[in-house]
Amino acid sequence: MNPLTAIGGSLNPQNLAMYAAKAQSMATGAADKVVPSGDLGAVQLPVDSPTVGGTGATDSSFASLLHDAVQEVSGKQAAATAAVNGLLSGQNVSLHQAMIAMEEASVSFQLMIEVRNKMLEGYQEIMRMQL
Amino acid sequence: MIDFIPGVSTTASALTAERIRMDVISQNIANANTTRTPSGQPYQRQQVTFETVLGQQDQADSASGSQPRLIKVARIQSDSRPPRMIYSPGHPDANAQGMVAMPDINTYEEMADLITSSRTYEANLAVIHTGRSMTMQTLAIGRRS
Amino acid sequence: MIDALFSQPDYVAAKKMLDATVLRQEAIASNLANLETPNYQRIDVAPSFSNELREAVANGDTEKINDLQPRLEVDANAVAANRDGNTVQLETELMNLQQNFLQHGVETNFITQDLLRLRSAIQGQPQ
Repeated sequence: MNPLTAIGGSLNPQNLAMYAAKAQSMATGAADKVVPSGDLGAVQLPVDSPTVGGTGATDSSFASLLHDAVQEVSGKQAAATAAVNGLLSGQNVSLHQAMIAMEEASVSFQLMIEVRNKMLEGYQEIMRMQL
Repeated sequence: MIDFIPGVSTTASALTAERIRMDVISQNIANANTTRTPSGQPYQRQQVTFETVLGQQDQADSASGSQPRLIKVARIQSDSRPPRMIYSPGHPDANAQGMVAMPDINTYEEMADLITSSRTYEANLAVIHTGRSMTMQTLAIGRRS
Repeated sequence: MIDALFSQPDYVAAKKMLDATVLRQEAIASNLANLETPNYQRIDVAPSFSNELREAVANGDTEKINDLQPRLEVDANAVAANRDGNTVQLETELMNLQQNFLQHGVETNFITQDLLRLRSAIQGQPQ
């Protein structure tokens, strides 16, 4: 089975390029709407291609999954900062709670970075394929 | 002040209280035979009583189960024991009947109190020592060895 | 996705137990500070906490574990050995001190290993 179709329905190199661009734009904190041209070079993609619906949802589920994950990561970072601030300002935060919050934020962030790296690797792998 | 070691303020107050008690005991022992003090009376044995009071709450304490701090204080009071009357007519402080008023201090009792006090002091030092080790362990959470 | 990483019942229970251990350290400090105070009643973490925690872990109920809060209460089983009504025993308390310290080590170790395991899984390399 083609591993590419296993990821998100009827993926072809055009769609994957679009997904990767969308994910990358989220990882860098850009707007939700992706400019389909320009940063992809010569590849011109429509924003809402009919074949995007291969994932089966109104919004592309993998991208929204990533979006939620990024929100959770920033939530963890915020919680860690709040815990450390609470500890330092003498509020009711224990040292171990602050330590654990910092470690969890760090692990979450590391996960996000690795996911982004793997996605970029996948994208580059696809782009390298000779057609 | 940030409480890195759990319970450190309570333990610190206990150490202070016990040290005060040891000071008072050694003062009692030193003055076991003092028949005249600046007030003219024989030395009155000093006694230390302990009390547990609630410490001040930090203003930012939330309702998430923080416990009020119990601080131990030592109060120095004069003992109400009457002086012992010893018959010693040649003593400069003897009264008309030849009796001298000596402080009612039993040195053995004071020594026993001193030992108890130092035992408590050492126990509280052990608490601080263990608490510090616990904090070092906490700081090592997530550390790759 | 991220929250699921840290929602294993064992891990959440270890964090709660760590809260209780730190609280217990404060109780032991208070008990040993008041070793000589007349009529002082020794305090400890409420025994209902460990029972409820054990139940919640057995059921794998992470939310219930998260909702538990350890509290300090007066130890109802302690008896006064002296005339002055103080219920603290020095030897018992010192033993609790050591025990609590070791328990703290176990819990921090478990949490550390869990976090390092996650990092290894993320990076694909041993940490």
